Amino acid sequence: MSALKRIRRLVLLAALAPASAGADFIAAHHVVAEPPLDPLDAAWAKLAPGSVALYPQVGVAPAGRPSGVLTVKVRAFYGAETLALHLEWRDPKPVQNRAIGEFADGAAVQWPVHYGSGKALPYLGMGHAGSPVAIWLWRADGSVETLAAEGFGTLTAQAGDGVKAQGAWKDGVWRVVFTRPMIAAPGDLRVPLEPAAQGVVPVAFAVWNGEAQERDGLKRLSGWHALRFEEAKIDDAYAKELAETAVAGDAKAGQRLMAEKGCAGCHAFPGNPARPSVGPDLTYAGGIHSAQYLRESIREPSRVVVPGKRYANVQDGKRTASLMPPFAGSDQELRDIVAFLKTLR
Amino acid sequence: MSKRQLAMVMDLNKCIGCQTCTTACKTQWTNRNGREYMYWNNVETAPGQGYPRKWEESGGGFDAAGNLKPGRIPDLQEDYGAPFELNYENALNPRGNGAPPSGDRAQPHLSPVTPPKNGPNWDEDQGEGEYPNSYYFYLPRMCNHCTNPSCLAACPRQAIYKREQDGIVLIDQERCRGYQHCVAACPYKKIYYNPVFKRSEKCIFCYPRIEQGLPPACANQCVGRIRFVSFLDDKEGPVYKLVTKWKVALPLHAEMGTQPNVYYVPPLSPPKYDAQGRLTKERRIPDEYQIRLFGPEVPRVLKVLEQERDKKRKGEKSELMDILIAYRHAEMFKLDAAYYQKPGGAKPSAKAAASSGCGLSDALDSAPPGRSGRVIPIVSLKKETLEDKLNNLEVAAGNSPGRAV
Repeated sequence: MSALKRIRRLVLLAALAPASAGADFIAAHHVVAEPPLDPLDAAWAKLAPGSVALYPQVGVAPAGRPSGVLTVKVRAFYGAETLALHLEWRDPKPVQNRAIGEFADGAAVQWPVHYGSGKALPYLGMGHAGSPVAIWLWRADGSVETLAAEGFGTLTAQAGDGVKAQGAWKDGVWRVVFTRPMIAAPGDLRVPLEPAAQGVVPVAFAVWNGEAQERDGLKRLSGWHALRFEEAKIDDAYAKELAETAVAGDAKAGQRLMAEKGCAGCHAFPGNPARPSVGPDLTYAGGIHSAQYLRESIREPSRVVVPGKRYANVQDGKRTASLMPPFAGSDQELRDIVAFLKTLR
Repeated sequence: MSKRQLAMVMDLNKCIGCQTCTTACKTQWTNRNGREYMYWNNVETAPGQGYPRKWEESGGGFDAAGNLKPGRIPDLQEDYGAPFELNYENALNPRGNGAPPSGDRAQPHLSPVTPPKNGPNWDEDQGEGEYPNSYYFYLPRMCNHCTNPSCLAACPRQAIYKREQDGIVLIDQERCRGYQHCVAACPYKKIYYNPVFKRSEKCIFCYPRIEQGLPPACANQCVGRIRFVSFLDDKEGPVYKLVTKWKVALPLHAEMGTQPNVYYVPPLSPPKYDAQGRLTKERRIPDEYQIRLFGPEVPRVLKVLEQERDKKRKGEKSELMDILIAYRHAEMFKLDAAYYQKPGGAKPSAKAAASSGCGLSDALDSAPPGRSGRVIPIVSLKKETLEDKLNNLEVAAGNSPGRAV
């Protein structure tokens, strides 16, 4: 019996919106049998993928250089016992070895440890203090790790949550499958997968290209997307929170405001002739961050400040506030700036 | 900067290049488990390519503004030189495995299976200059346990720390994730990536020995008695006397900005010959070369050394020469086991205490993270401590000043 026949595909609840449109739901298809761990299993090819854009991490050191978008195709199956994610991306030259001065290709899936209606998402860059993320990391040397972090520099290995991963490189394409039991092995910092209670789960992706010596923060990453369990109770309120709505702002006006309001004095972004590095590089801010996060960061820069990267004032050894002053302009101006930032991708 | 700093002085006038220090270190720490290629301590011929090859041109350290300079990760074959695989089976058992006798040519020589491209000490004793003015000296090198370590500044994970009680620079094996930024950032190339455990490792100044009042293995075993070890601020210790009182010990490549804590007494050399074979007043080892290594103080130091040596020759007293001669081995080291037992600031870290003595190799060899089955707290440092560290650390491994805490 082929894997295909064993899999009973059910109704696709949400059509996949293109990544650029914002509301980025990835459908997890319900299967009766165990989803396949083999990335070359024919069942995967039959599934229509979601398309996720990954951008070079240019915000914090060690940072890469702006070098274009990488599209990762994401497919998902889930059964009573297991969730399986299939990632597929182009890589003409695989690197599978980790050695002196040599870094293997890799892929990671990032989840919030706590999520649900009313709970703000962890900072995309590996969470923030008090808001941890759970991470599955696969490397092309075959290693798989369960990790957790609550901000840059805090990534820490955890006892395995049951995650397995398998990768296969063929004809210039990496295909990697992650599987995890719906009920994780015991431990604190795991992502709960409970389709019966919550049908949408925020998720983000990262890919490392070993050929370019990528490791650590030198990587490509996506913004927060959402995995939607096909046959599950969907919390509409939460789905709405996660969905990106179009920004009612004038991007052109926003670009002008970036200079007028002084943003360009500290942030690098395309169209800013200076390359200041006081604040994070915004070259891909629109691709990586949600409009909501951008709005919040402009209105209340001190709410989440990336630790350790000199983006905060320090007084008597204590971080006080972000170096960036809170935005004092009108709501319309704020909308315009966010509209402009969302074009940066 | 740490509260106190342990430091070492090496008198290059006495180094005979015997590699006993290298061997002492290797047999103690680096003869297994992915460390085979590493020499935490090495002795190279200067001038020469050094180990790893051309480390002086490999970048790292800080620029004048205090920013980290980009550095290179050396190549195993080309720069470090991988340990040789020898053809034992062929050479020692040529008729084994049913192989026919090799005809006229008797036995194959014992030799590396693949021709090595490089190795530590590849250019031993070559030096520079034309006979009769050729010259070289031996330069033993190890981690400098810098006051402003660029490895520490380059690590995005705060996996490298400098101990408060003695300034020893260590890599937290639980925090290290093998990104190798430190390998590139160290201008002395004294951090090594362990390809078995996938983490970086380095000289630990034999801290388990230090905490029991014993000198590091390299210093203890040195047959030339060139290595002095004591706290930099201990006026009774030999290091203070040589570095601060007599000012004859100089740091290596201080311009790299890391404030190294291994100091060198620069070597004197016999005079050069002129074309007619007469002795000149010029030193055989060019001052310019030594200045490049040890800075502009070299000529002054050499003069002091000559003066004090002449005193001793005339039968006069010279405190400096008495220290450097090192009549009594025990006087070369001033360490204090009790210091590490005192309650309060001088207590060894929990990690060090748990692994003092030979237990350390267990610590070094423990399973890689994730495989130990142990749950590591999300932040192995106390949260506040990490936050403070992150805030105070004026470095971001990139476009910011690199002054360490």
